[in-house]
Amino acid sequence: MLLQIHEPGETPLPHEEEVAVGIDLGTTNSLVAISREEKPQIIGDILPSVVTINGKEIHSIKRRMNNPVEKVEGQTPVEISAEILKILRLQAEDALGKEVKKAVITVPAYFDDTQRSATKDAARLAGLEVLRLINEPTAAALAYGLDKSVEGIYAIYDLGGGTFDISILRMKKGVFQVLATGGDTHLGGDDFDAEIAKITGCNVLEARKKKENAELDFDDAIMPLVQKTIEICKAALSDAELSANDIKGVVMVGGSTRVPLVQKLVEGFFGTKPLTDINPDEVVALGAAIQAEALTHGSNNLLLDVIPLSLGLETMHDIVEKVIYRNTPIPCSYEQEFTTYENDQTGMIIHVVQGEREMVADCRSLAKFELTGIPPMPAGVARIKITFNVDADGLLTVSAREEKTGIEQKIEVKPSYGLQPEQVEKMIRDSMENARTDMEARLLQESKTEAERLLNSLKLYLERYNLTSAEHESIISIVKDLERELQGSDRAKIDDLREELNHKTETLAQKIMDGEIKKVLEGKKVDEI
Amino acid sequence: MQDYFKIFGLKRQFDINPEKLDDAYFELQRQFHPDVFKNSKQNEAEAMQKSALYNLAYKTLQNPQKRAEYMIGDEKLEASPELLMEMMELRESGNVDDVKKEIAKLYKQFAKTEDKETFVRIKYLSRFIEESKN
Repeated sequence: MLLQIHEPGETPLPHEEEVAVGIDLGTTNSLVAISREEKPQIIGDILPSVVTINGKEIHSIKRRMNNPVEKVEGQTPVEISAEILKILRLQAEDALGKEVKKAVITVPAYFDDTQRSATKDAARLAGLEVLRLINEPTAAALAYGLDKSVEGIYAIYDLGGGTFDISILRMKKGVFQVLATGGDTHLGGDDFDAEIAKITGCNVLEARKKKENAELDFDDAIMPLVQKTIEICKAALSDAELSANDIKGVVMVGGSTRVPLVQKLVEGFFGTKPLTDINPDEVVALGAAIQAEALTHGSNNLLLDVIPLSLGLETMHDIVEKVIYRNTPIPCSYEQEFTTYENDQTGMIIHVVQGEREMVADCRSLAKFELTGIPPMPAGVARIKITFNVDADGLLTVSAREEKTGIEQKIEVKPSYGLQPEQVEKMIRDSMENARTDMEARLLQESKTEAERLLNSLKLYLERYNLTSAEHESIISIVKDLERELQGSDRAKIDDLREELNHKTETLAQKIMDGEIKKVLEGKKVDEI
Repeated sequence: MQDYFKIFGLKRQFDINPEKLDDAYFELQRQFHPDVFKNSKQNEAEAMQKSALYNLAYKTLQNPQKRAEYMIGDEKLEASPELLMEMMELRESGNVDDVKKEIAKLYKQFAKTEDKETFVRIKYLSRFIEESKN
C-alpha cells in the first residue's frame, strides 16, 4: 500500500466537504451546475427567476440590483435574489445528496461595485459562501474554450434577458485573459419585448411569445436596440486596441442571441459567422461550475479579468480624478496623493465614485468618508495618500493615510446609491458624447481651483510678511479682479489674472525666501509652494 | 520598489518583445493570482499584493506611452516654447494620420535615445490623437 505524504497543513480536505457549484443568476432564468474533472453539467432544470410575494409574481429582479435598498413588495432586491439562490441551492442539494455551501456566482461583466456587492450579499442570505464572483462572458469563454479546445482572440457577445456584455478575450495555453469589456446593464430581451408590445399593442408576455414563435417581422422595432449593442462592441474593440478582423470568432451567449437580427448584425460587424455551437442558455453556468471546481481542487487554467468601469475620487469643484481606469486587470492596487486646499484644514472628505465622466454628478457615488485629525498646516503641505484595492471579485476597498503623521482611515466601500438606475447604464456612452463639454468644464474648474489655491496661500503670506504699500496695493487690486472673475466662467481671463498675480508675487516669494523657510522655497513662485 | 522590467526578466530598454512580456506575466500570475491560493493555507493577502503589482507592471510595460513614461521616471516634464510652437503647428494642420506617423517616428527615436524631450513630443501628440477621437 502506498502512503500519500503531504506537507503539514497542506493536507487536502476530505472530498465530502468539497462540493462547490456554479450558479448563473440570470434576469429571466437561473441555473446551477457542477463540474468534476472539468466536465461540467447542469443540475436539474432551468429555474425561471421569478419570486411570488403576496400573490404577486416578481420578474427580472436582477435589473434592480443597482438600487439594492429600494423595496419591491416590501422586500429588497437582495432578499428577493436570495430567494432564487436558495431554491438553486436546495435543487443542487437534492440532486447531489449532500449539503452545498460554496458557490461561484456569475454577474454581468458590466456590473458596477454596488451591483456586485448586492449579489454577494444575496448569496450570503441564501446560505452560500461566494468563492468568487466571475463575469458571465468570462465564464462562457472558459466553458467554450475548454470544450472546443480553441486558442486565440475571441469575442463573447452575451445578450440575456436584461443585460448585455461584450468581452474581448485572449485564450492562450490555459490562460483566459480579458482584454476589454463593455456593456449595458439595462439592455436585453426584456427591452425587445417592450418594443414589440408597443408596436403590436399587446402585453409584454404576449409579445415575448410572438417573438419566440417568430410570428411577425419585428426587426424594425428592435433595430435601434441591436444597433446599440454593436456600438458597444465597437468601443470595446477600440479599448482593446484591436479591429474586427483581429477577432478569430464570436461566441454567442444568452437566450436573446437566438434572435435572427442579432446574429445578422453581429456577423455584419465582425465579418465572421457567429459561433452558435453551444447552448447559449447553459454555457455561463457550466463555466461557473468549472471555476468552482478549480477554486476548490486546483486547476491548470487561469482567469485574468478586468474592472469594467473606472474608479475615481472627487476633487475640488466636483471634478473626478480617476485612480483606476476601466479594463485594468484585477486584483489591482493604486495609490494617489492629494493635498489640503485651505490653510489649517484638519479634515478631508473622501468621495469615491465609479464611471467614465469628468464630473462627480455624472458618475455613481460609491462611498463618502472623512479623514480627520490632519494637523494644521498651510494649504498644500499635507500629503494624503489614498489607496484603492480591487480584489479578484472586482470589489473595492479604499484607505486614506496622511503621510506626515501616519493618520489612517480605512473603509470597505459600501454603496451609497447616489445615482438613479437609468444614469448608471448610460455612463460610458455619455462620456463619449459629452467628452468635449466635460473637458471644458473640467479645465474651467481646474483654473478656478488653481486661482483659489493661489489666493489662499497669498492671504496667509500677506499677513505674515510686510510689503511696501505700493506693492501691496497692486497685488490687492489684482486679487479683487481675480475674485470677481471667479464668479464667472471666462477661463482665459482667470488664467491671465492668475499669471499676472503670480508675477507680482515674485517679490513676495523673495521676502519669504529670506525668512524662516528659506531652504524649502528657493527659486519658487508663490503658487509652487 | 521593484523594477518593472526586472519583474518580467526583460532588459531595461524601450523595445521589448511583447510575447516574452506576456509569457512572463502569465507565468507569474499562475504562481500568485488569488485564485491559486483559494484552497491553500498560504498567505492569500500577500499573494494578492504580488498579483496586483504584476498587473500594474504588466499594464505599464504593455502600453508604449506608459512604458516610455515609466522609463523617464518622476522627473518634471517641461516643454520649451520652440517645441510647443512646433507641436501646435502640427496639431493645427489637423491631419490625424500625419500626427500618427510622426508619433511612430518619435517612438523609433525614443527607443534609441530614451530622452525626455522626445517623450514630451510623444505625449503632446498622443493627447491630440486622444482628443480627436471625441
